[in-house]
Amino acid sequence: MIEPTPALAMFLRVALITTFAYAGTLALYVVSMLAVAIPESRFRRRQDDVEDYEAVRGSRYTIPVSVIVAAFNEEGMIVPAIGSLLGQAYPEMELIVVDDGSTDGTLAAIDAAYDLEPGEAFSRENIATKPVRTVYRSRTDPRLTVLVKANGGKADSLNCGVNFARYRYLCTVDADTIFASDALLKAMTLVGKDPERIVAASSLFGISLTPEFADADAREGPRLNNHLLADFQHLDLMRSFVVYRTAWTGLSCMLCVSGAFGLWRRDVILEAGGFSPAFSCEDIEMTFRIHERFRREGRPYRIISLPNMVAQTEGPRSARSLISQRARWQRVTLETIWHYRSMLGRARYGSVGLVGVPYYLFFECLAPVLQLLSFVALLVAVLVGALAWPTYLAFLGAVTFGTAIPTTIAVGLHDAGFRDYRVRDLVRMLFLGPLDLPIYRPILMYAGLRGTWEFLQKERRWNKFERNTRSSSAKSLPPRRTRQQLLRQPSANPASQTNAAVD
Amino acid sequence: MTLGVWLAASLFVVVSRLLYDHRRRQLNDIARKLTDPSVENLPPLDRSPAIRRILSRRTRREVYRLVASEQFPVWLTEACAIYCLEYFGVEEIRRDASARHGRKWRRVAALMALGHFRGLEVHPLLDAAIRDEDPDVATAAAQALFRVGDRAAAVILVSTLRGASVPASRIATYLDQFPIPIGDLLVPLLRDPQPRTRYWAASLLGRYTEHMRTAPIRTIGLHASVERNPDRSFVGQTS
Repeated sequence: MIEPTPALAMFLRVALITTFAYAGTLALYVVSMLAVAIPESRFRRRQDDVEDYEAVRGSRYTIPVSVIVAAFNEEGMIVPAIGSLLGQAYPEMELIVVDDGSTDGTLAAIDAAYDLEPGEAFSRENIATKPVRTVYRSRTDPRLTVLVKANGGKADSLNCGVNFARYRYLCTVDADTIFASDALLKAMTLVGKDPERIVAASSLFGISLTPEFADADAREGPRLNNHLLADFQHLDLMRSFVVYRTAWTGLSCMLCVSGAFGLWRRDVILEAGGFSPAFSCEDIEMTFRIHERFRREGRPYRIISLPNMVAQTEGPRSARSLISQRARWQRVTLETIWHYRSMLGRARYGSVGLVGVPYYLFFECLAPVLQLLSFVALLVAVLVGALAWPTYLAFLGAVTFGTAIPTTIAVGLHDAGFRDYRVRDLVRMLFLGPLDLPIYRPILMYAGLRGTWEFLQKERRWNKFERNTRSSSAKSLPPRRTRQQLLRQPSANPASQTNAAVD
Repeated sequence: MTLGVWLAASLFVVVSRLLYDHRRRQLNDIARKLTDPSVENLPPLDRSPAIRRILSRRTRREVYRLVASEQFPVWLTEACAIYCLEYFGVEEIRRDASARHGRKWRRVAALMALGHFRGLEVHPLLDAAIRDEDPDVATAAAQALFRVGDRAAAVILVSTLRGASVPASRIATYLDQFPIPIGDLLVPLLRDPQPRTRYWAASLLGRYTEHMRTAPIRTIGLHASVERNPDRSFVGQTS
């Protein structure tokens, strides 16, 4: 116990007021987002329910898509990822895998699975990139092109893919992600309804420790990992997409088209000058850039986020890897917000300037600092004996369950739309909600602080997390369905067929 | 208080899921009964008294949702549509399908229900709906016209190739899969002043070789606006 001084008392008072003001504003913001997300989610559910996917699936008039995969040292995941992309139940697409100077066996793995041969491909050279060394074509699937280029980072690889892409829509995806067979079909069907205005789209994806075994089309639906950290990440993404991004879509200020699954109109990417290698991560910056440009020029456009679970991506298994990944996310958010700070609070940028950017500034960029402040204040209050424990514990309990409410609503909205999780997984997700604050949030707080520090140090590294170890049985993957089989089958997920009937 | 809200919300999620699973089991039972060959030739609503019993417990909104669902076996949507006709009456469905303000999804569902009634005069209503500004309403009307599948429906769909809130690619998808031959309806579009319309007509005519031989394909190339874009002039010949 230490003697309270006037300076300490003043610090405690300021910290208390700041913490309450912050928590109150955050609660108000969350309630507002829920109020927008619930009807928006219901709207999307209805739209999905009446959509005639069968007609689109069998059509020869769907809008063709160029899928671009940027791969760097992905020998373990690249083949299953390509398999899931070539297995899309979508009538016309091409797949461009850009090997960004990998030093492992990425190319050899693709060659072994898809029998590559050197070939030629037309490139527009619209965006300057590192030189392409070799172009390979697959002998087994003519839709697959592999570009081997000098290492230049993810943005450079995506730009290289954009130069080689033939079609009007681009789908940029991660090489460690396994896609559901109807991922492109569902996203493009909605985009195809309003192609003049929808310039970019994203969709929910889940976290898996071994996504190549988490069959996204499984009859029983997706599964949780039974690994606390992975399940927290899964819930984090679900909350982010099902509540916040859905609400931002409703408010026309969706500010992050995810790198794991992003659909873009190619002319918009070219007009913006391609993905920027100057930032730690390319996806959020490109979304901000498009918003800034279209709002400034007063052009009609929409960037949307869909609630469908389209993929499973590999998530970190250890807290250390998670911190490394989230520190990068925090860094890129800070870089982007700093770069586009002119949009903050400006009515000219509409809901982006008045709702989206302030959210990122106050609840993403400044959150770790304010959380640290409240932790330090708590420590000081304990040391000087100024903490009223019963009141504090009541407050902590209220905050713990309060922060679980958006998770519960996200789980409820997802389940109402898709009915894909088993009941026991649903219950597990609901119970993980209140544990989020005491277990998961401190890790994110530390990652946020580290990311902020790295931003101040002008760090630009990718911080790729170490891949999760697989068991020996991981060598034998189940054969994925061919495109012809998928186009013939009535629906990718039979479990979802009867949702509308019994809801 | 937050504990109470969290508990209530969590309970709601679990209970609604359990109810859903219960209904799904009921539905699977019905589907199993319907596989019996002895009832296969009966009308959908008469195949199992259980369907009628279940539908009679549902609100109009719920039955409409079943009719509109594309994620669902055809026999059930048909049964629900016939149920709608029996219990709500055709005039009520027409009224829902032509509602201009509010209740958008009820309108969409009513339009989809109309797609199941081939004998009734539903074309003028669907014609008006396919020109609606709302893409969801217009797409539902296009789906219904495709389902009606007669010549009058094809005439309406072909006319929307000239412009509607439904993307032309979606209209072309339905026309390409249309159950009756429609080549003769597409030929006049080859002389349309809009290059876009001529493109779609020529592309769709690729299926109808007899019309391709006689159609004035060259008129596409001779049109002034198309001469500037020669790549698209003879798109119909190669499709």
